[in-house]
Amino acid sequence: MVVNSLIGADSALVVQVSKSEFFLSKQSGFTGITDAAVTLYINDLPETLTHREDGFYVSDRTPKPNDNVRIEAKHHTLGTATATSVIPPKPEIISIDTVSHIVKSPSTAYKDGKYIAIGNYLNRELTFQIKIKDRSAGKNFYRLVIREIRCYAYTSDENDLRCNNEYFLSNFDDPVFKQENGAGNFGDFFDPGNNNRYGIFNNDMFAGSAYTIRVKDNFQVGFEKNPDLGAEFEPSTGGEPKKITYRITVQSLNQEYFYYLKSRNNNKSSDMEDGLFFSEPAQIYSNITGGIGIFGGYTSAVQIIEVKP
Amino acid sequence: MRILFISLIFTLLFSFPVVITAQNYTISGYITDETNGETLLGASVYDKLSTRGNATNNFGFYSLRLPKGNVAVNYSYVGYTPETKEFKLTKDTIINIGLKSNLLLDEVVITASQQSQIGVKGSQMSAIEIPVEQIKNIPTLFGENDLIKAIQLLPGVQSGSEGSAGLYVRGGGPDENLILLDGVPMYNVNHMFGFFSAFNTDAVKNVTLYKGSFPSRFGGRLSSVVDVHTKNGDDKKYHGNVSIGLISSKINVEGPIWKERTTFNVSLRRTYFDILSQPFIRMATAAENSDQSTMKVTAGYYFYDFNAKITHKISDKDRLYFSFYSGDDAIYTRMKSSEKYTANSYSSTWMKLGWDWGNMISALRWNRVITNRLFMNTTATFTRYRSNMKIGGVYEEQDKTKTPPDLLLEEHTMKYNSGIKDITLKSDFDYTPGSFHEIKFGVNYTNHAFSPDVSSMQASIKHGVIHEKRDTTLGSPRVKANEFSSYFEDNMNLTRWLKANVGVHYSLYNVQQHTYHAIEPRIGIRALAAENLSFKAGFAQMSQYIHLLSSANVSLPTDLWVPATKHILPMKSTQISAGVFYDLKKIANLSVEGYYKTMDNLIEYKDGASFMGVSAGWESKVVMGRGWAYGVEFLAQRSFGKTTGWLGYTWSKSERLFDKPGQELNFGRIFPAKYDRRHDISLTATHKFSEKIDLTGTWVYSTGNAGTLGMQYYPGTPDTERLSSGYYNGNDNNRLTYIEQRNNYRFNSYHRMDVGVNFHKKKKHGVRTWNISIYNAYNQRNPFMVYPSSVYDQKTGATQKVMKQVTLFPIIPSVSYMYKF
Repeated sequence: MVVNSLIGADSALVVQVSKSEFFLSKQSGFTGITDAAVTLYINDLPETLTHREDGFYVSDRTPKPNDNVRIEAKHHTLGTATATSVIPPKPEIISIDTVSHIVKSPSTAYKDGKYIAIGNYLNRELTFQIKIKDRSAGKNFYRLVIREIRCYAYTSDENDLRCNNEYFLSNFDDPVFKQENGAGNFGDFFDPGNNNRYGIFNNDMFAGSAYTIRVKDNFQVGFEKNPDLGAEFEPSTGGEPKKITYRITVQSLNQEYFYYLKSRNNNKSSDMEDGLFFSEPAQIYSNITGGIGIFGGYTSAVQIIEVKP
Repeated sequence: MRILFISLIFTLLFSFPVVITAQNYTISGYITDETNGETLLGASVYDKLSTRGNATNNFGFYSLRLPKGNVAVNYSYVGYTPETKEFKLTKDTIINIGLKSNLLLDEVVITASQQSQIGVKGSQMSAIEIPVEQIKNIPTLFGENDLIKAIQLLPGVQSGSEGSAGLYVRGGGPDENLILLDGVPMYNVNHMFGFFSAFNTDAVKNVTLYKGSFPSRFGGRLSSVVDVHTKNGDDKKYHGNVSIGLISSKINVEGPIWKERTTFNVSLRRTYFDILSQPFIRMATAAENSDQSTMKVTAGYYFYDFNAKITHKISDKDRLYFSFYSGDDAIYTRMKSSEKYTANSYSSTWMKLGWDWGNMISALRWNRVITNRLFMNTTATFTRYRSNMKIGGVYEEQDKTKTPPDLLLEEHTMKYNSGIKDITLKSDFDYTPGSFHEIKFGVNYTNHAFSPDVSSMQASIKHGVIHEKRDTTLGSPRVKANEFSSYFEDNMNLTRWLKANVGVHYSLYNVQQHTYHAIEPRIGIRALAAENLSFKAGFAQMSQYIHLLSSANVSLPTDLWVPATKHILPMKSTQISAGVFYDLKKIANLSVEGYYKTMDNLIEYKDGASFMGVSAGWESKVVMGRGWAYGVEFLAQRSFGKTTGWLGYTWSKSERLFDKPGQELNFGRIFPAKYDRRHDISLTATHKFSEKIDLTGTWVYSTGNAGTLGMQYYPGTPDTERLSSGYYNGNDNNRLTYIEQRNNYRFNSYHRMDVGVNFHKKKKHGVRTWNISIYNAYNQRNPFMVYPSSVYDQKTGATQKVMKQVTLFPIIPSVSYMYKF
């Protein structure tokens, strides 16, 4: 029996109960278990969850930080699976500052059998300085998620903006993320980068105190044309975003959820695509007794920043 | 108080025999093969009257202290006709004796090394000697004689994966074996990714494997010692042999440079698939060429090893030895192609890959008989293992129709280097104070220089005014370390039935301004219940200051030798063993041994890590844990007569626990070691029908290897951000693999039979031998690796998931020719 649930302090609890599949099974998807008896205990107060569809069971209650939460899923053939979790206290974002500067990138064109410099692309490098406060001196776990939406003007009307789908920033290079890097994969040999796919970190570097995480993003803002050239060398500009919205979420994770994300990251590093022959397949953390899956807890602090380049 | 008590015991042990052995004299000298002067190691010297004896050391020297009066000294060695010297001992006497080789001695005559440390009467347990002639007869893959593969057939020793030459001794790892070539440690003992060992058996004289109860003179590895000694060379006449096999040819020449004074022994082996395959590669690429495009490719793989030894007898008391070994594997590819677009424009590509790895060892040794009771061996050695890879390429595109011509030039180079260099100076002493003691002591200093991994990349792109350059160097810094060790051991005849080898090995290791040291007690006790029955017990602690980081199931040149550092602690082991030894006269020697071993500070890659991603530094990629192993081993060995060989059986269990905070593997729970196998059986037999024909065969069976395989799929949770906004679905994109525990999957059991026959014929100048071998005679499809896959059924159009198994070696017949002159 597979039991998955992530409890947040600001949403009703959802538990997914399903069956794992033998690796040689013909089935392509997973079967939700619709006839389980799922009970939620918040600080030992029980509630029988209601089945909505395809193995998803929902609660009417929303747990609060520091609540002790337990779930129990009973099935007549698959037995009983249980797990406990605690919702960690909400993280604190003290401030978010941005620092930016323009970086010039030269561009050339081919004319009369030779290359000539036609100007510089202007890119804005934006550094977010996200100052957070650790909730206590003990071992605490966090995650940073930054979603970005870029909006462009396709007509002369500056207010008629069309926005792209949201995009998650990754490849955070602040030192806190390196501690939880996936340990490396084949591609790193040629291009060593960041293998912390989920942006998770712990408080080893700032236990009990504040820490400023630095994260960079960049985008094109214009073109600086070589004044000596004529109109024939108009650069292909106009693709610059007119507005960028960043949704910055700092999550406080409980230990189980942190281990789960960390082991998923390691599992990715060691899977057949990346690790192939050179590493041992990594296990994914489970805290479900009598089954597999994850019952994790988190809380979030969110700030939205709008940038008009 | 405890120290005082131990000191008292030692004082009593030493003084007691001295008191009762007054009026003694010493008989000393060298025991050699009469025909070629080759020294015999571990040969027995035994006085039939006083029943006292000793054995020759690693240089063929012996020293025996006997009471004044009549003596009847018997000299014997397995495979040689024994000789007895009867005389009245009235003074210290030197007797250098040559024994006659006789491989087909009547069983009755054989005394099977009365004083050998290894047999029923010796105090050493968990050790096995394999006669080199037997190793040469064992049928092997492609007919290549293989010392390591022969050792794998012994109880307590497991091979890694199919065909691999890795050694896993009593639950230890492949890096925990001290493999000594003439006393110098070898780091890489494999060729061709572990399928062949680096030892050319033509150069080898003697091999002893120690699996436990290690004598104090050995240190630096946890699990075993493979002590290999090479031949000095014939001191009377020139001879040698040439052999041609399916994948390699060998030549061995030996003889006197200065008769009975200076000898040489040189062996060379090289594979030749790279040479043989070149015409086929050329033909294949030529077929693709046209007027517009041409391609030229050279590619290949080879390995070689070269052994050389010069021995010089300066005087009766002094001998000098110089030995050299060099062995390398190399992969190379060179490719040049060009394409003509028009009369004035073309592109060309040039690419080169070279990867070579291997050992180089040199040793200069001085033996001196200081007195007839004190023998000294001083050695200076240099050993180096390195793995160098270089990939380079140039791409050029030119269009001459433009003015000036348009030229694009891209150059890329990538280098990867790792290795280790050791410089060692050591002195060993053998001292025989009385007929009840054989003392060995010595000191050793080694300077290690580790280069765990360094890679660099250079790139240059030129196109018109653009010239981009990139030059990056990544990797771990070099680490230098100093290792000092000393030892003392006394092989004591406490009573006629009780014998003990008691000693201590002390090691001190300094790295990164941090010092580790270890005092390792070693005890071996033998109680003789009858002339042919003894009980033995042993205790040994070992420390190891280097680790091998290996991330694949076969030996790869990317395996990194790394040092114990400030953060990575030295490995340690403690082993206790006990056994019964029985000499079944005229038939075989039997033994049953049990052991229990613990290992600390073992290292493994972290979950998800591999040798790739070098920039992170190896120390951040590994975790430390512990392990333990226990088992029972049975061996029946017959080394004489027309039929020789052994039957071995091992029951064993080996587990690991990595549960230190932040260093967990398997979530801090116990898991089976990679080569944990419950049962191993091996049967090896050679029968000599006549001078012209001998037949050999081996059969092995073992429980399947353990591997990590996810056998269930299950849905994972998607991103929490999305979860917070409502329902989520588990689907294939979010499909996770459930792995119950590390090494949860058991491969099918492994079994294989190899057979071989040798046809010998005397020729005018020597003996020629044809060898025909069949590896995996009944074509068993043994697993090398398994993986889930899908097959498409054309009839039904359905796709079915299946488990696929990769088998490396089906039935492989081979033939080789050897001429011995």
